[in-house]
Amino acid sequence: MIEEYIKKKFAEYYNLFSWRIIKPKEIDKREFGFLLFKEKIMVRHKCFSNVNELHNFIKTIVPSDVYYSSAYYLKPEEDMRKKEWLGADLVFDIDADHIETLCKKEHDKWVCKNCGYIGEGAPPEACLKCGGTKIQGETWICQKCLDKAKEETLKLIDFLMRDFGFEKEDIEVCFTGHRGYHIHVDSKEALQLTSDERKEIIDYVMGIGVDSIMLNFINEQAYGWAERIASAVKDNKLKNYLTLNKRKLMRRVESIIKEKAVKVDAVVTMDIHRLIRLPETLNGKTGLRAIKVEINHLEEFNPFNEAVALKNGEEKIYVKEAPKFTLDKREFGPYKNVEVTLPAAAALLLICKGKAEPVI
Amino acid sequence: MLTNIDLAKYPFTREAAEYIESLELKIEELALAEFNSIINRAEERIKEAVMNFKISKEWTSNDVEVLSFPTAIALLSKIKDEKIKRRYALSEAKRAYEFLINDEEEKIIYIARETFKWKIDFAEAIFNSQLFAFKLYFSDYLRNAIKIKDAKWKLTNRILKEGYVFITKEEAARLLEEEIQKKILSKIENSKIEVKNLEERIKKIICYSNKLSSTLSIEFPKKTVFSAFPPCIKKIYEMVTSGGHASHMERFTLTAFLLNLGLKPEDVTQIFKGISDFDEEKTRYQIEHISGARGSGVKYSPPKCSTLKTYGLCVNQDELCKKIKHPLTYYKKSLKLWRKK
Repeated sequence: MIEEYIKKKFAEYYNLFSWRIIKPKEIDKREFGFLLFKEKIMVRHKCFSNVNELHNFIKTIVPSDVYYSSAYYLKPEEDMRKKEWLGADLVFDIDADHIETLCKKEHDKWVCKNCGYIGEGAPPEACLKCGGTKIQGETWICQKCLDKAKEETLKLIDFLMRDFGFEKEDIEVCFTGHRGYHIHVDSKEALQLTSDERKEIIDYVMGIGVDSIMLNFINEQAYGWAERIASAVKDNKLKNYLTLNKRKLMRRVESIIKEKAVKVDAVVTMDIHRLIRLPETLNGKTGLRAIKVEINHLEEFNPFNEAVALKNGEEKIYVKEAPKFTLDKREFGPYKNVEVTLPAAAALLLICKGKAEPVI
Repeated sequence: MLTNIDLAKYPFTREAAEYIESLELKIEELALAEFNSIINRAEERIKEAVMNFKISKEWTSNDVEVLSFPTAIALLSKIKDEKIKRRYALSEAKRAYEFLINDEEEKIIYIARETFKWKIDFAEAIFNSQLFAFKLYFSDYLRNAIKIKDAKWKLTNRILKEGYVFITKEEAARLLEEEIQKKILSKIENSKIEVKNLEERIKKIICYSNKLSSTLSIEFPKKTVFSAFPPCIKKIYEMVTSGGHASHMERFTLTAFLLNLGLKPEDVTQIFKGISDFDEEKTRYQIEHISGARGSGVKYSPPKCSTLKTYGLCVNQDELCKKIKHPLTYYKKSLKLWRKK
């Protein structure tokens, strides 16, 4: 019943706004994938020759999530080994799930499926009480987490522009509709990069494998990591660093690197056959829009206002438990075992996150 | 831009290929006595590569030197042994490297741009009292640098600015060496030239190549030797068999490693039985997938050391780890040591 309700809302959105989905570059060479509500399965290897076909398909099947390949294929509809890979966009995934934030303790919890123990924060590898490993995590999207993800995104953009020389126009930032951002780089030179080469780029932005060689450059007017480390030295974080022995110095440098590095999900960038969320579609985990954000606007971008999909209507729902949150400039909650009437978007968010049920 | 001497030094360049074409010589005619010197030099090139890993840098005739290169490639294309082809390509590339480090910077840039389409420019920058003569676009850099194992080549340890990596002249030559080697290998693979009346020569080359492959690589023994596992695999193995939790990447790494050692999918499934969230059906399906019995039919290798590092799975490094790039190589080498004991 919950799925039916969400699907009805998604259908409403796509009927009104499917035009917002703009044509991905070379649409006929991309593979599309759709996660279905009821069956919970992924319909893959789909291909469209134009964007209208795509709009109509989405309006007809109303999927919970829509994905497209970062790769270009000669035959996108064939199975993997017959697709004939032509190249792939360079994409990065920044997700609060992969970033340690203090607020996780406040809004995330986990339940041990074995003994029923409930813990706070990110799920551990094994239950703290019984040691069982069947653990279900329950997350929430909060302003602090999203701000942290945004901060990482801005750091990545700095790397992409200053170090890798990409132009602002080549970089597309997209809020995923949940806890993070996708960064797509549109560059002819990046298309043919192999998975191993992309790994080197990832290591670079994550500061993995910085060797003491780099320290030889920090006294110079250098660029890249040398410059990042040197500027931290200037900020007095490494006062008298020349007097330190090499091991101590490396340890200090490592802490600088940790701070300056970007926390990205390496797997996404290295996977050159990846399906990635299509901008301007809805995220089945929240009912929010995956939305393209102009880089100039990123600092003041607030997904809780701008990614709201349905602005009209109200819904009566029963909320099991939900923390305080703000959506579309209104404050809600906290709730515990109550029946409330909320604007459609807020109700949809709670239902999608499994915190509430519709009341009929 | 390139002189005749340059063509003899760099016979893999676009200009050398054009020059050879302009002579309208047919390789088929090479068996004729008048071209004996070319065939002799071609054979010598291959022999030198196989025996000494080094192709000599002296010659008497520019034309013979240039023409012997495509001839050697045509001869090699008729030979099945991959090892000899790789060795030849590497030796030719090393020969070019030695010329390049002593050549003018203009020439290096010219060859890089014209033959290999590199985005490269003069930089003339000095960092750490070292002259970085060139800057090279990062994708051209990465394509070649990832093949070289040494911390200084890692992108993280480079001066990278606005898409360009600063490199010294010596480094440019070293990166070109990688590119040249690749080009020569692909030339051998794609050579469609029919070599007639040269069977005797080919037989001789096969003789050298037999000498080369007499140093057989060791086979994995039937029994799995746990104590020869690299530390990273040991850790995952212990975690899995002691009923702990393992991430997707850890499971994949262990499975691919064990399958490559010759374990059967059933045996690997048994190992995962201890894991806390064990699902036999699902596990077997995934293991068969990795073994190539399902899906794409590709048999997967475990990730190499640098990838394991990126995923944070490289742990407890030991002395042997420093000498290898791949967990399977570790196993091979440590087996040798283990046997000696």
